Amino acid sequence: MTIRCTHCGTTNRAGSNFCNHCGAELRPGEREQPSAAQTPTTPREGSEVGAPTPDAGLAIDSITAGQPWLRPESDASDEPAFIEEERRVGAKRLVGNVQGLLEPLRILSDASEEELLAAALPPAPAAPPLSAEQVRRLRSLMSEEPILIETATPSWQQRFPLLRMPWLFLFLGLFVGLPVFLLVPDPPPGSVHQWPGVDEAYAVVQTVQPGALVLLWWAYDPSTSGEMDQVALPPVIDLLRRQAQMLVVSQLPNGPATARRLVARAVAATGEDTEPGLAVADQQFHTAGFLPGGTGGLPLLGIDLAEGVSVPPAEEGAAMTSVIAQPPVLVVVIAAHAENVQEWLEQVQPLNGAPVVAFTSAGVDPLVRPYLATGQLAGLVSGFDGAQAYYDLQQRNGVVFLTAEETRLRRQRIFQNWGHVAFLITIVLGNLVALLGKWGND
Amino acid sequence: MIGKKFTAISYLLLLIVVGCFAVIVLDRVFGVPVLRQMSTALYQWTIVLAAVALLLGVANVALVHVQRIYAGGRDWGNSLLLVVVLLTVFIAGLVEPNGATGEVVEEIFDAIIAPGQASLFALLAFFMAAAAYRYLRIGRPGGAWMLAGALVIFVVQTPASASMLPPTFGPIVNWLLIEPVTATVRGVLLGSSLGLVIVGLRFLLGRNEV
Repeated sequence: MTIRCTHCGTTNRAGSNFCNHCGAELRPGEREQPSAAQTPTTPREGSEVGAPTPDAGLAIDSITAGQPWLRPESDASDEPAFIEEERRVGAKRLVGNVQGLLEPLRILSDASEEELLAAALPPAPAAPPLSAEQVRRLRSLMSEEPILIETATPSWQQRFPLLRMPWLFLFLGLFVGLPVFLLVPDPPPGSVHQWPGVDEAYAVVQTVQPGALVLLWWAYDPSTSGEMDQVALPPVIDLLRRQAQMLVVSQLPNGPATARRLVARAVAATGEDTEPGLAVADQQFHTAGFLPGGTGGLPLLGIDLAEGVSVPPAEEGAAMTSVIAQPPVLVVVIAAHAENVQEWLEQVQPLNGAPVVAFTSAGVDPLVRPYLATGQLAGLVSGFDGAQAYYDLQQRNGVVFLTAEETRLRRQRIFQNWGHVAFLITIVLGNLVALLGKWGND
Repeated sequence: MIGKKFTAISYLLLLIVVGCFAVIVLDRVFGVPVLRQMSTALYQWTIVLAAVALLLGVANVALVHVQRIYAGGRDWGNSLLLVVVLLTVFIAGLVEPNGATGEVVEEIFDAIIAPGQASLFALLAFFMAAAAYRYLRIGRPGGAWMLAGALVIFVVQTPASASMLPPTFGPIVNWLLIEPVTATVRGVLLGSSLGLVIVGLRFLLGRNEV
């Protein structure tokens, strides 16, 4: 006993609600009478259909009236026809016996999935050849790290050239690199920002007496020395001139070596790199080496220097012991990152109370400037502009650098000018492209 | 309510944390002289603990990569390079009389690590350029504020703008940095610090499950 689908002609088991092949509805009049005469199409889970109780006989009859395959005698009657039908169309169906989910799915064929799919699907038209861009996108989507699919190219991008990143980088490189080759003239005199903090830093450094201990918290290494050497050079020259005892403490492994090189450069910049001059500088400069422990170890420097620094043996150790016996009159924080300044001001300064001046990279300035307003910082010099402003103050008071150092500082400021202008143009271009896109889409 | 995982060890850990916290706070806030020596000892222990933690971390990294080399795992060549460099620097530091500030270690830092870091910093400029080009836009949500902030900082930090900007511009930017920006940044810092304290306490109380 079977039902033939009126839509595709496939033979289905009697009582099937939907066609196995096309899914068309097989129940006659189901849509016209959805609720009134509706009989349950699936028995409740656990119900014993084959063992009716006397008072449930009528109910079972009403159930099996709509679902004849539930009757024991129906099994053999329609099976041959159904199996024959399966054999006829079997390769076109993936699964069978899904009537009302009463029986487990049965795979019709042992053929592989690819063969079944190939047989079930209509022959596909020949695919057009993919372009290189389409292949690249497909590969990106199928790779382990898929990328977001970009939106379809709007019409405005066809009218306006799209500024691609490589061109952007080339533009930036040229913008910064060309001034080097074309020797762009120096910035006009007086073109230095007069930020609060530079005058104060200079004034504090001038109060250091000969022989007084100045602690240098050295928080940069050669990776950031392009900017930081220029910023740190003027105060180190001042401290050498004032015959201060400088003690370098650093939590960077090669921070002390960087400090040693900068002091040698400072001696050379003032033209004192003779043997006596270097010997004097050597007596003024001490390094406590590398301080381990991160922020947790910093408070030791505020409690007692002797607890925080490692004293080398022999003569150098004896000299340093006498140096660290006195409290520092000034702390100079030379830092490429804001957290180094903040850590000192929060972890150490409350313990020893020594005034702090900071010489930092330009990027640090916005984050540490508030400490200047609260009085935790006695002075702040940042970036090439700050270094130039400090150097201008030194010049007015009779300190003259070697020409090479002046030229280097001036050139760095020229590069900074062009770099900033390139960034500004980049931002403007980005907004312009976005606006053109908006107008184009409108 | 204390979680199920709260054991005697948790009580001990919590007691140690509270004790250390009390010593440091009393020393820093009230300046109790008796506690100065205790706080100094605690800071010194911190250095020792940090060094041990670092050694453990390095040993763990080395173990993972040695296992990968032994098993011939993916990118084992990179692991081999890492282990060789690790051993080189470690042995150089051990044999040098001046340790980490010896000539060989300083040369390794100056000639290999510092140029690598400097290269990454240089690449950062291009990364920032790409980010500025794509995201500092007026139409994006919040983009106008970010754009305005970036422009202000860029302009005032450009040396050439010193002679072009009106004299009142600098003080206005200074005020912006000191008042609203600082208030915002410190609010974020305070919030994250309190969150950190709460997470730490929950961990110690055995209530670290989400």
